Amino acid sequence: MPDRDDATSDQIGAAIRAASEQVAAPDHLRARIASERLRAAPSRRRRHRTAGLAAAGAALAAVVLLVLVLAPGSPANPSVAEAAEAALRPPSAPAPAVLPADPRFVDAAVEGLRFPNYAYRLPWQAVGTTAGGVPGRAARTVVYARGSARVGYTIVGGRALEQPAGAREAWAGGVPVRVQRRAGAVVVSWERDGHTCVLASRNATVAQLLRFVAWHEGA
Amino acid sequence: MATRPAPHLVDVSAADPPAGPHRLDPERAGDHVDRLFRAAWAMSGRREDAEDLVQETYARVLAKPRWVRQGDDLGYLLRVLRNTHISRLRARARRPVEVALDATAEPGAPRGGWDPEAALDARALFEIIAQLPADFRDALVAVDVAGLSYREAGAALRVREATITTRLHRARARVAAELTRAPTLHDDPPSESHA
Repeated sequence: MPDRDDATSDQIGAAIRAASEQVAAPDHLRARIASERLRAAPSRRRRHRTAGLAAAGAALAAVVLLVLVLAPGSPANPSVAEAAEAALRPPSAPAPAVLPADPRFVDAAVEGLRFPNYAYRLPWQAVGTTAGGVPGRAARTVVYARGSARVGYTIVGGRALEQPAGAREAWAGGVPVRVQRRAGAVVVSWERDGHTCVLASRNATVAQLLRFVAWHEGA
Repeated sequence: MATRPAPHLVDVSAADPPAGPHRLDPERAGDHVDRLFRAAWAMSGRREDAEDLVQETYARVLAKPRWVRQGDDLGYLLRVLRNTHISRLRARARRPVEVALDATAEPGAPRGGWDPEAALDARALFEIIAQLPADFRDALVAVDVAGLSYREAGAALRVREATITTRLHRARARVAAELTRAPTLHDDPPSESHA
């Protein structure tokens, strides 16, 4: 009997598949999706242009690389640890306002990459901000608070930093992240649109920080 | 039949095995639009909703680079589609329809009037699929509508292959039972003229 059931089930499946395969997406939907793809394309074109320039300036890059190798930790090549230190510092300026046009973000950004407004859905408020703090790079930190807990969120300008060796790999919101403990703090680092982002806290849990990442990275 | 792939999918799986973690290729994401559209229609039960659902899914995945942790791009897109569908239902402040079509008994083989080899009307079929309990519906949509293998469907829905097999079997039986109950979905109406 199980064999007969299986055969019948396969027959039903085949009938469903045959009916489904008669259905195609309408042309106007294809056009709308092509439009979405074009809208997303500029950032990709920017990356391609950057790659072309890098290839054209290979000789110059080699010289720069040599300098970096001879002087590791130089201002041009800061580490995630330095970004984490910036994230853990107390803020030096008031919290940025919520962005009126899109309340999911606050009015603070590094090279166009905005900071989230976690208060939009989570009980975490932006309480202050600090500019700089990462040697040789544009950077900004927004500090979020929930009660006495504090989380610093630093975005580092320029190309992505090298991920720390020995950090644990994890996933949040569909993106790979690195998690490490450093001087009593939890540090989570990942890439957003080619920039390194760092969340660091002395009194929030890893799960809370991963929830922060997933909030705006999740599909 | 616990772990075998769907027979019609063997070639596809062999040619394009599930990859490890990789970035979703935006240029190739559009290749799956037909399958996603069918899946969206079967999930929502309405063609118009399916169009909006597919567009919103693409808008989400194309907005920024995406990492596909396991499985292939279609499985990832199907998972985003399903999540988007659930979000839309919640946003409308109503719960997903999870009406048991036959709560009194688990249907076995289809009874009586429905012939599995008869041609089905896709619109009516998708309406029936959309009314299935969510777990059954998702398994059937992933395998029979979107064309994933059992393994890919398990990865996309984050359940074991054996679970997919069981849910798919029951979902098909329920669809067949519902078709049996509504023979006009696939039969021509009786002629009123007498030659």
